[in-house]
Amino acid sequence: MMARRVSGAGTASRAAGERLVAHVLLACTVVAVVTLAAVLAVLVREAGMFFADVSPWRFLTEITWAPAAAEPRFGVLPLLVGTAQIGVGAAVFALPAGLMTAVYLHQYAGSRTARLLSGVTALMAGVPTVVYGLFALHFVTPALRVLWPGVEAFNALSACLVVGLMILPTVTVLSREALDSVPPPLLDAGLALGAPKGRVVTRVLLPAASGGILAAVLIAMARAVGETMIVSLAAGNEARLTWSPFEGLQTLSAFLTQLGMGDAATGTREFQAFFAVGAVLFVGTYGIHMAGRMLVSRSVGRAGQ
Amino acid sequence: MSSPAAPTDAPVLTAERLSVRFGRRVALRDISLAIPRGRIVSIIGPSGCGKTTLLRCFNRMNELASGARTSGTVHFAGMDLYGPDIDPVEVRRRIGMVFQQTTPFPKSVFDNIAFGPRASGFTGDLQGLVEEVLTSVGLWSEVADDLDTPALELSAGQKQRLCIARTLALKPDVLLLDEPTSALDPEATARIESIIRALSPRYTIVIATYNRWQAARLSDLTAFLDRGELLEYGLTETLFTNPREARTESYLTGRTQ
Amino acid sequence: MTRHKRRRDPVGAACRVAALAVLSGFLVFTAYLGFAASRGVGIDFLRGASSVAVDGTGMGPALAGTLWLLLLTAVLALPIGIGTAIYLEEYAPRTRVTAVIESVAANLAGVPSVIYGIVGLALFVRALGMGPTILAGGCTLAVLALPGVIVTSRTAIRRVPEGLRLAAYGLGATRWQVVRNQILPAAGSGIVAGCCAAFTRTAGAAAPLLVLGTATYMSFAPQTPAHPLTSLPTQIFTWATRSQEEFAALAAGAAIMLLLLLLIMNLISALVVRRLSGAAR
Repeated sequence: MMARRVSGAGTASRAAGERLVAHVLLACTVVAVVTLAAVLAVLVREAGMFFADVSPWRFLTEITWAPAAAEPRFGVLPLLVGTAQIGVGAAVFALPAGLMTAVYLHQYAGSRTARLLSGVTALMAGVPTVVYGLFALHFVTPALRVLWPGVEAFNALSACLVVGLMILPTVTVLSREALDSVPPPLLDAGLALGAPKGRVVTRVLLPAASGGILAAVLIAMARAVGETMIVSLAAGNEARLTWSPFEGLQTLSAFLTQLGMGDAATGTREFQAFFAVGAVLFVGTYGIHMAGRMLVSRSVGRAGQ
Repeated sequence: MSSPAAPTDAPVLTAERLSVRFGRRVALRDISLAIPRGRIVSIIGPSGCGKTTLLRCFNRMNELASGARTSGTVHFAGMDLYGPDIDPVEVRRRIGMVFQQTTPFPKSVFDNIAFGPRASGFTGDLQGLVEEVLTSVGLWSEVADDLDTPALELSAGQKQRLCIARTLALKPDVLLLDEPTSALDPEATARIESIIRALSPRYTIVIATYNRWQAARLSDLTAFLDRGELLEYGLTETLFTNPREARTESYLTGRTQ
Repeated sequence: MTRHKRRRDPVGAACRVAALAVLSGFLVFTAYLGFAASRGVGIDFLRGASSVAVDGTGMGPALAGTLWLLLLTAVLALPIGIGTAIYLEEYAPRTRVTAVIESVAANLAGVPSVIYGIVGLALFVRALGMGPTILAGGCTLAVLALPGVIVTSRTAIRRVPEGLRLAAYGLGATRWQVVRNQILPAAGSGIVAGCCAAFTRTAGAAAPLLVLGTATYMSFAPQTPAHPLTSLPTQIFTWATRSQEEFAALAAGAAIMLLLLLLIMNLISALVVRRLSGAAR
């Protein structure tokens, strides 16, 4: 019927090939979704069995964490406080330094300096955290002990400093992306009004990028809170409530590594306690990360308009 | 619905009571019109009136967008385009489309032309086909020396002519042109328009354009769409000199945009 | 003039100082690694096996373990992750379900790796009876890498201009022809770069493997995935926890080895990315 037609390969065999590809890709998706769902299911199941035994109230309010003791105690507070200490401590170092470095790269650095510093940042972002942990335990801690002889061999300060170093690239790179999304005419307008550069940075650039910067902060914090190797190497693995940065502590994530050292049998309450802690850490980091990503998409969406 | 019948003899495309909705938004409402073979038909109307959507109904491109629901029928040379045994891929090979944004593939000129024929399993003389279609858009003399030139290095006008040539390589029956010159300068636009005119007896051409003067210059028939409805459809000359609807007239005289 | 301006810009001065501090922090870190490793790391170190005794220790087995883990992760996570990304972007209709899958995957990419470790222990080591083997480690790392691979591949695919897609469909290409001839070539460099980043994270992960239970003393290189789990990151951890200085030197040496491995991986990926984006142009 169609007089002019360009056609060679049989339509039927082509359609069969198309269907096969579609099925293979669908199968990939099913495997991926089932796998990720299984991760959640294991976490929920084991944590659920734990909380059937130990009331969430006791879990959150008791102040002793000793899951492997003859008389086990399941007060997660020391781990929670320890995690918060590491997170806040790292943030104190990393956030101002990272943000100011981003501003420097965006506004002040010459293109060669910027490229060099960005390159170094990218390299450092790829360093495995266990290597940072080694640096914390064998360099930063001894150095601190020279400065303050009272510092313990395992201490929170060293962990905070190095976790801060570890999240620096994240803060810098993401803040810089936020700064880059501010339309340049906005800054030019500020400069054209005769405002000094520093003032334009603080009054125009930073407020305009604040959404993206906050997102950067949140995503970096999710990493700091979940950081495991630096903390277990430098801060020790003793769960205790302490406010002194010179003493050791245990975080939620560091506790989880203990599952590999001990021999908690499947089905025991001690085993399930790891999943309860894992669930707390999961919910916390997932939530922070989600908030950060929502801020990113919102600020990107707004900058695009 | 008093659908204004087009003065036509042998329609190649016929839409009947065609509606398209995206989610809750109605993009096209109860469109009925017939495209006669071998003619140039313009679809004009203010932006957002559904020109592109209507065009895409004719080669089933709408279903690639999520949430698009089409009702009504479109017949192409007697077959129901939306029938159960119709392969949309085959439809798009016979009803070619050129887009508003020039979209050359990031490949050589030759590979751009060859993409469609290769995708449909063409086994004939590819070299000859490329020369033929490039000649018909006046590009052969400009690129013959180096068909390996990356298509992205062409000028904007050349890119759009390449896109038309690429579509012609499939030997389609119908050419759908979606605002083909809106991204081009006047000179390149004039060039494309003369190509469209030259293609006109061999191909049935449907062109959506925001530029009413382009419609007046080019087309045998013009359809005026407003807010998803077909308000008027008829001979271009009649529609422009003696519109039936007040809204058509005010659009043509530029009182609404 | 310039100097005058600089003095009047305290913000600029502060930012300069911060950037310098960040740079020097990284320099100190690098210098420490180099210095620590330079002590007591001989040629034997590369070949030898790790043992309790400092003399004759090496990291051959750990390096082999990491290579095995990388291979397993790539074989398991890459096809499934990229296939999922293609399916979700190009085949599946945009529904609430796909939106949820996307959001969950993106957030899972930010969950601490140690959580994948405890799940991997419950699932692969115990429930599926793999034991603390390279295979269990590879499966765990594949699950860890999966969200990152999916998310970065989806992002790369989504960046392909819509016009290319429409033009190809408009020329009567089938879905797979569009994907194979237009989408994948255009998105290829982004997919490679994203997957490389996900793999860098995975290859350096010590925490999940420690949870699975790693062999601390390994005298021979693993030949099959059924071999007990060992890897460079966990070996670094084990050596770092020893109090003797010699072990710290070994750990630093292994750390440099790991960094070199990651660097080579990233260089290869950068070359591939350049080739691909050059070809796309």
